[in-house]
Amino acid sequence: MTALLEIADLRIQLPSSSRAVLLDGVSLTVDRGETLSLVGESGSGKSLTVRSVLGLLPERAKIAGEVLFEGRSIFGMSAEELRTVRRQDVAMIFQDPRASINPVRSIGDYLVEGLRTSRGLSKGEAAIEAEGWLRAVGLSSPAERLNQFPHEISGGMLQRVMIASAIGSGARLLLADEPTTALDVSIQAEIMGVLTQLQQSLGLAVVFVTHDIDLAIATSNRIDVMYAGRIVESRRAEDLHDAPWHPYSAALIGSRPLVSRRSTALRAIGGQPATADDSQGSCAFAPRCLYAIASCCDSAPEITAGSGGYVRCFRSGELRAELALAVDVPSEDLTEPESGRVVVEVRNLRKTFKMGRQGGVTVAVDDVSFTVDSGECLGIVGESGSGKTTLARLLLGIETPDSGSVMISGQPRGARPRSATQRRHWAAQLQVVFQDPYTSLDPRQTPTAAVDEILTVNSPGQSREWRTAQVDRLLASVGLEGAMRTALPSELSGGQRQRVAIAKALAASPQAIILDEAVSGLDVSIQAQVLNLLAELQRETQVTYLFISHDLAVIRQVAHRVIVMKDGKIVERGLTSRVLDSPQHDYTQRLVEAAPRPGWQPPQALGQA
Amino acid sequence: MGRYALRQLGVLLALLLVGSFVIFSVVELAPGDPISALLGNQPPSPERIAQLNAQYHLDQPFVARYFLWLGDAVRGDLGQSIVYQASVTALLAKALPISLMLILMAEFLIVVFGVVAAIVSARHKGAPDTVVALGSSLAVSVPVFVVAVLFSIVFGRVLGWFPTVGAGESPLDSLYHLFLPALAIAIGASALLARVGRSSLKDEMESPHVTTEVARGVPEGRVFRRHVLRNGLPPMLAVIALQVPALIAGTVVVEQAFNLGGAGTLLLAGVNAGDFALVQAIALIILFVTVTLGIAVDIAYGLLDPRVKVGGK
Repeated sequence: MTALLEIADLRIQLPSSSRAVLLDGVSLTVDRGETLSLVGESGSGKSLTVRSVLGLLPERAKIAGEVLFEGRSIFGMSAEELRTVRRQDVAMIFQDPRASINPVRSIGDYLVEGLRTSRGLSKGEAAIEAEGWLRAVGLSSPAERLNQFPHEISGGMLQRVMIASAIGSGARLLLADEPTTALDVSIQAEIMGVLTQLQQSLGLAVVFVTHDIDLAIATSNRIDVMYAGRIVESRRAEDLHDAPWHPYSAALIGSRPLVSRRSTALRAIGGQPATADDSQGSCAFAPRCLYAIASCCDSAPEITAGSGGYVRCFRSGELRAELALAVDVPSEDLTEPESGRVVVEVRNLRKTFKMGRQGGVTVAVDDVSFTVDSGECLGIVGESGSGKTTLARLLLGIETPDSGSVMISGQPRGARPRSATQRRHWAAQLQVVFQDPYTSLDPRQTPTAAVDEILTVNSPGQSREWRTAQVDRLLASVGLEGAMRTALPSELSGGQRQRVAIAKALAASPQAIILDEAVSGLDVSIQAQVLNLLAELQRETQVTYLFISHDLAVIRQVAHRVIVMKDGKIVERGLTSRVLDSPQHDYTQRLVEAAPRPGWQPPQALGQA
Repeated sequence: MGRYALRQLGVLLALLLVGSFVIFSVVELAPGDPISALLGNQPPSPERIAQLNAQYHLDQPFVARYFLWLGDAVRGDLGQSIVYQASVTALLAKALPISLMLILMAEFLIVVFGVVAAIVSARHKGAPDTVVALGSSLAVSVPVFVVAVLFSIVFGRVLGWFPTVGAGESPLDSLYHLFLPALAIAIGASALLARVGRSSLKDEMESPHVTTEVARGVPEGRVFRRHVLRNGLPPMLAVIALQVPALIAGTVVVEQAFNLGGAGTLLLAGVNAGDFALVQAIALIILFVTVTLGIAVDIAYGLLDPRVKVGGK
């Protein structure tokens, strides 16, 4: 019997000269009812691999190899045959439901159009079916949902709508491209629950693309780990976690923080992710590999098969024991720093926003009080809409509180400072690093110029020599060397840009830094680098961090104490290890349970949303 | 929706009130003595001056004069034209239909050319796209009066396909007479629309929701109609509305070039002679058209995109 999906030695190449090779000999099979996860960092080619199944390829790309669906070649099909596959056989759901569903058409419109194209139903039949599918994915009052528009419902509900359309088509294969990456962790758990339950009841095969290796292990039968356009390891899900065969898989597992325990030090992978292009004729991972030997750079490793999987590594045989040890990262909770000098003190802070013309009021921050000491890291946890970003804006003086006070180093933070001296004073108290280093840096400023500018503004009267020395010191402290220092942001990677943002924050020599989801946009290997860097800087300078994140594992890694926010209120607070190991509040418990970890299963009951 | 329309009506009235006051003030405060303009070649006898002062309310304070003028205008009395020695209302009744028809024809051509060119270049990469890009660059950069004169010579005198003078007698005849002038106005404006439309449609074609539809096997033509065109429409609508004042300016030029005798011709004569009643009246009409259109576009936005809250903030 032929496999449901077979990809054989797929190569995709762009006609241009730079980054020409995107996929470099990808082969995989998916059987009926099976779930395969493709795991890897951005640029590894996992998304392109699933898109190729629907013939969604970059224009003018050169293609070699085969994609066979039930034995029929996708590339050999006529346009009409390919459309039939897209309509009836293979369905796809995408990362950002808000961008991936037409915002100006109603939800009913979206579902009806899908059902009519896939199954040729009449408008009336399709509308009735649509309601049924919305019920199947656990949406409450489905009849009313049909008349709503995408912007009127939450991202999690919208992802359910996309799933409803995908399974409503009667497809036998579902391609899920990071379907929960844009969602809060508790919503992610619900969506994965819906997906696994429907998959089992309908006997669907799923190819699941994710960067989250724990999520992949929890939800799939097999995992293919991709790096630089190749599959470097293919294993049964349950085998991969404790005994990876490829150094890259081991590094992925060792570099991600966990909710259940804090790693003494994350095993960050040095360097930057490679592309298939600059690693032709060698192992792409060799430059970052701790176990690389000379022959790794001489030729590309072929497949070595083992029981229940294969790996592409010259040294896989001899390394197995060593890699199994490597993923068993020692754990150690943070101990509270001793200082005791209060840097940030927030008392009964409250901020409301008027909504619309009817005079409705939203309480964004509601009676929030806490203190942070010097050299300490306070984690601020909450899902979207919990008020954590408003809290940061209040601390920074961008918003003015309705009532309550913010004291930084004993001085009240009042209205926005007017004079240059005052501004410099506050700049030396509190700095911020934002989530997206792509938009928070001036695209025309090199790292050197950016840091120098901050020094010029905040330390007037210092000589140019002093500034040059300081720029050197700061950029070295965040690990930016050589040509990177004079490159434009567009030439830097996400992790490097975030290092620039951190150097800029440090340049004002602040007492405290707000890190607003500062590592959320980074790949795990780079995230580990930045988290390790932040910990090191704190040890050296005793700077205070307020670390805002929705990711409990990251918080566990960096924060001494944590506050958990919901609807503007602090619902739980305490030592990070205590809060995450034995959460007291229902909401904290739900957050902790929703976070994927080894042995985790998505909730099976179809949650109503 | 009812409340929203009511509020928009309020906005419309407020804008008209402010705008009309500005128009009135600018013309009133412009240099030149209205009495001497009104007298023209007549001997300046004190009785005649007193009579004119009373007739034009020149003896009243400024603000009072504004409200008297506005009251008259609302009742349909736009005053006396000095140049033509006739009621402005009567003059406009004859000239306005010509200009209006010219503008409507031009607008029709702009929309047809602009939208078709935008669709062609968005859907067909390569030669058609390049032709539209180059053609629109060229068309945008040639001023209306050059096009008008060029068309008049080539299609009118040399080829003899179209008349070059007058606005025609019957409606059908007018259509024939006004085609060339309308085309002259439409060339540049449609090129701008084509360029904005092209980039708007291309952005839409690359958006993830379009990929979703393609991945669901919706045929390309249907994806384009239902998801690209519809979503890419608002920017084009904005351009069409923003171009109307320029279009009116264009008619002034083209009416001269083709000797059409429309409102543009009146405006020019009025400005040259300091004929304030005429200038104020035409400016008032332009204001009314522009403001009404702007609000119509706002309402259309709300209908095209459900995310634009109708009635909200």
